[in-house]
Amino acid sequence: MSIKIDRDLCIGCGRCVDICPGNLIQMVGEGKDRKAEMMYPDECWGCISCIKVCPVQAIKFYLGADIGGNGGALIAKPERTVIHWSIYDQEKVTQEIDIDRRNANKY
Amino acid sequence: MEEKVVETDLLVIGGGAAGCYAARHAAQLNPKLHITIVEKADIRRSGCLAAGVNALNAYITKGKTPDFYVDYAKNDAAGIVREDLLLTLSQRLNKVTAELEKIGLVILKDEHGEYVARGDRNIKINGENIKPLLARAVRKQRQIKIINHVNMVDYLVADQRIYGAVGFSVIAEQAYIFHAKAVIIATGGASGLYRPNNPGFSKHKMWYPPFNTGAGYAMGLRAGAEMTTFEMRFIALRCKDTIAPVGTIAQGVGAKQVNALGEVYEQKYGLRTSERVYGTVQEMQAGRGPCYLQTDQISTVQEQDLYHAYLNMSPAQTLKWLEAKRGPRQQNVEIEGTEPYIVGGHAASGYWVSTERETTIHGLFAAGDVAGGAPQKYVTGALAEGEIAAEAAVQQLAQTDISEPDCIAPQVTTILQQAQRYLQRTSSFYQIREIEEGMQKVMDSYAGGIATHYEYNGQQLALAQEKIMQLQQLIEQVAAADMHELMSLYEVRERLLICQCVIAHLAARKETRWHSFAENLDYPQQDPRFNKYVNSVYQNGAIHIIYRDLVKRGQHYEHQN
Repeated sequence: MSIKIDRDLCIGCGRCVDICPGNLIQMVGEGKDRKAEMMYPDECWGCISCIKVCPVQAIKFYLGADIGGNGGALIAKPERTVIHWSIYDQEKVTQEIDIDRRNANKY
Repeated sequence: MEEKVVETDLLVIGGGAAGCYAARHAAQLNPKLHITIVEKADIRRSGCLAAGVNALNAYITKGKTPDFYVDYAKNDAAGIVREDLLLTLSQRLNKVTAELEKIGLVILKDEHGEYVARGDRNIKINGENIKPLLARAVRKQRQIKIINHVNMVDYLVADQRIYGAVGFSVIAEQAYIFHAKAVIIATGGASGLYRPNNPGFSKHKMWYPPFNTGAGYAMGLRAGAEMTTFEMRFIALRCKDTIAPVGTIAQGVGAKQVNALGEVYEQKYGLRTSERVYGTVQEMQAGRGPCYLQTDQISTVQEQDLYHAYLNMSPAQTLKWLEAKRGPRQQNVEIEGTEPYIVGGHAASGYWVSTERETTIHGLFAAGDVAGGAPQKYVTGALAEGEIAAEAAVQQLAQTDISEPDCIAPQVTTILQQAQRYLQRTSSFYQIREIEEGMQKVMDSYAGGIATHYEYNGQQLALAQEKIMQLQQLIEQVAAADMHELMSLYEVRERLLICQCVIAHLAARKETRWHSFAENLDYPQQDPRFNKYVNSVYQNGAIHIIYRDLVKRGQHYEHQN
């Protein structure tokens, strides 16, 4: 259970660093190369707060092999009234789910 | 190290659900008060609700009363609850729910505008953004100062009265010294005491937030505050591996607990929270595992709804289903019990408080998971308790004017010097992480962890105590390379002290009142002589047990000290 930050996509805004409830992400590097880095991947709770706050969808959520992970990953893109979820199988999107934030869970 | 000094009327330690709500309520009660929230992470996504929450599980549904809720919680805990605390919070559950809706929480309503119930005491919501909403409501109160990324380590206390607290930034080399006339502690419960379900890479994939390390309990213990019922551990029944909630499946689509033979076993062991865990453990031990929630008969629409519901509160489960290309219709959902936690929002462990939620330290109030005596409080109960604590603190602030005694300044110096010692050490024989693993292994093997099916006996507890004390000495000798490691060091130090307290409590309740939560093999039956609270105070390095009589529903409990 953890996250992977794509260095090429990361714009170095630091929002994920601020939001992580475990203080697990830090800014590393200088100038244009200053990017967010997951410093403690085995201490991640999997709350995905970082993924929801990332403005460029540079962070993916995945399951560790020790809990049945199979190479898939999840990205969320929150907008005002909807959250777009994409499930990845290695590199390509296999499924997309939109959740209307104005609706309650049915269960 | 830079020293930042903050003077405030009311200090709220911990900006989770209870802390945020308490601060906001205090601000509304007295717009002139200077209020400070100090938080280890960022209040927008900290504490139990960081990922969201699937339902509000404490609500007085139509036709039910607050007394119904008290009866439910009392029965679930086999009588060891503070009925005064449960009643006062139950009376506010619907008020705080209405307030949550007002600040933006989506709650499902029927055509008459009534909340849709999920069972006798639950309502359906979209809880993905509950924490950002609470944080936004706090920010609207201009008199509340929010200080994020500071880990609090000790209170400033003299003659059983609080004067403030000290903490350290988790990022920069800064110490924070708070001088306050009243303090609300809302740091949550303690995870990470026992070896977790997934002890390897996914060790933090657990039910309770791994960042809730019980700092509030430990600070209270060191300051001499009385604690209650640490022997009532909480063990959650969860989806295997992802440790995602089962209630959404069990109550949402009516899935039953079945064993490997397909037999429904939940009625066999009883329906209390602890009995549901116990039943699953018993079935496994009898060779009828794994155990499941039977989902293979749900409809395609229900399956889609489950994917959505889990994305809103525990996305790992949806990912697991989708990446395996086997949803709950193709495969029943395997379940397991978690490692034990100490958490006052689900079990009754925490600070021993008055009906007003004042601890045995004057001026220190407790709310949420850190406060004891009132299990099943869930989110809304934590908010209700935040309100009650805030009202008592505001009232006390209006009535008393305190000035800090001279003995407080040397306390600050001692705490800062200790941190400097940890930081200045250039090497240590053991790493912080090794000591944490040692602690979790000791608790797992000797104090009723997963390895022993949550069971223990007196001899094992004595061994646990001895080994935890050895680790307590080791943690004092380690080095912290930076401020993040300093936080980690304090977290393990706090957990070790809580372990010591848990072990003493488990040994003191010589009965088995709650299966699995406190399964004492020396005393396998419930014993009416223990219709009492097991309380404790930490003095000179040892836990001293105090047995107290049960507080009844109509009673107004005040401390005698």
